Amino acid sequence: MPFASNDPNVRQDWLTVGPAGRLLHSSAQAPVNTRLLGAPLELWRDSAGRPRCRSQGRALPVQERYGYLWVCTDAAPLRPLFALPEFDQPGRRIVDCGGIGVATSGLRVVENFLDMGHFPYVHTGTLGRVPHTTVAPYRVEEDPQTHELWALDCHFYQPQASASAGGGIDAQYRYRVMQPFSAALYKSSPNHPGASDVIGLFIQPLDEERVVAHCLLVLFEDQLGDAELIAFQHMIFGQDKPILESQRPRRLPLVGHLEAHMRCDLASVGYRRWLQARGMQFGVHLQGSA
Amino acid sequence: MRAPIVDNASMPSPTDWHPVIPAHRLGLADRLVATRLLGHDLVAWRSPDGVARVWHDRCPHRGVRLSLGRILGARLSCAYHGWEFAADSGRCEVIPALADMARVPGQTHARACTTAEARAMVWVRLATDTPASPGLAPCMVPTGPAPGSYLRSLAIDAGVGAVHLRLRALGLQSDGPAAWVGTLAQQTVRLFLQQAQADLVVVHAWACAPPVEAARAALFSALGRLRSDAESAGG
Repeated sequence: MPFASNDPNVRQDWLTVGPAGRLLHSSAQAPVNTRLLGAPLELWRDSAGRPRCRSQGRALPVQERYGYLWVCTDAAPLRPLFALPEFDQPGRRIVDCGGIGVATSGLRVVENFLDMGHFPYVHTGTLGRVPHTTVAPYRVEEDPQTHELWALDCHFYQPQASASAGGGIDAQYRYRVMQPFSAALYKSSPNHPGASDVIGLFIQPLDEERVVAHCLLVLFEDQLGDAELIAFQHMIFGQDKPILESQRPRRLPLVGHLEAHMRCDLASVGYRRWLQARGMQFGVHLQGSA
Repeated sequence: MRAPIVDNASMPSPTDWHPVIPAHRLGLADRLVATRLLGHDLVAWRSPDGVARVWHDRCPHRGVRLSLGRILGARLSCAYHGWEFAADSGRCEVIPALADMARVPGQTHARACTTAEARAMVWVRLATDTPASPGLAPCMVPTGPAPGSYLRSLAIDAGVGAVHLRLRALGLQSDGPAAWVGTLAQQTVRLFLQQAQADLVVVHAWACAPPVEAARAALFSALGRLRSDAESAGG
């Protein structure tokens, strides 16, 4: 089965296929099987310890970075993988939260990640609480050097901003979209004033309407065990999942009047425009189709 | 979203009245019920003024099912961002993320279907959207005897043509739009057929007189056979 799209935004860029730890005990004879862009994929570590990837008999570029494997389904990636310097910063905890399957377009999952307005309703008691519902003005801009999208000066009242938060805070946020299917959240670290924790969201698109959402924590955190940190993220993702899977159309509409936008949706609108400017097709709802 | 179906046996039209749910299943400001008609996802509820409401099950903001939300007074509140839609018009009146509610734009609506209650069922017409159109005369709402005592609603994985064939074979007759009357297990029954999608019909079954326990069990068996016969007919 060939790859489900010719969109260079997915075919000629790096896409995650999950944590590198999965390749333990793998070999060319016993590879790890997964899917990407509608096609089967085999992954393993060769005798020199390098990750290898093939699909339908063809070798594909693969690299290991930030604890994950990244594959390009074309021979020639258009750009190197994004930078995440915090990953290598001393003193940070690195926790892979495992992948969660979501039956929708990965673009819907990223858009939800950029959205503060749903916190009091979907993540009641942790990331938000009524009546603290107002989304204060914030900025959205594209970095002229990296062409990454940023939402800046975001803040929101959170009763329990993370697994280790002791009480309610006005959490400071910066959102960063590195690729259509990769985003990161920089958030005030609850027990390290002045420092930011990083939460990475890396989407593995199985096809246009099914994804695995991988979540990476890069934290200043020395009180909780991995299981507690992972459980908190799973609770949050578990609350988002039924909402995301109920959205129609599953694919993200970039233009038209199918969905209404308000001032508080600036990040969502900015993301859609950014995708449209890149000519994004994969996971996009085409205008006029039902 | 699926396109509306065309079934040669009955040619359903969006301008027809279609039964979607027994009226008693919608308590006062009680719950949001997800249902389906001609391939469209719908949400049914009853606002505090006692009026049954049937809307397209999709928030105009981010496309989330409204049936995941809740009833807040005379409004339906979406589960995703708490947007609140007025029962009578479907108009969005509250956007909690906005600091200034005066900036809620007037043209943002949930899509309401024209809805009526008749014969102990809730009926809708898909043809007209927001706001509920007063132009459709109430006299066009299906009329006929009240159906009696509610038995159950039964989903059949078959097209409406196959269900019609089975009903005729059992000697039932048309009893108005989407309605059938006749004898099953020696009891007079009235059935309302909801065409959920091309290959799914929901039969809302009523007994004209409250059946004794043994008769009720026999009716349930007969309805079960109706389902298996219609499904095995492959139509």
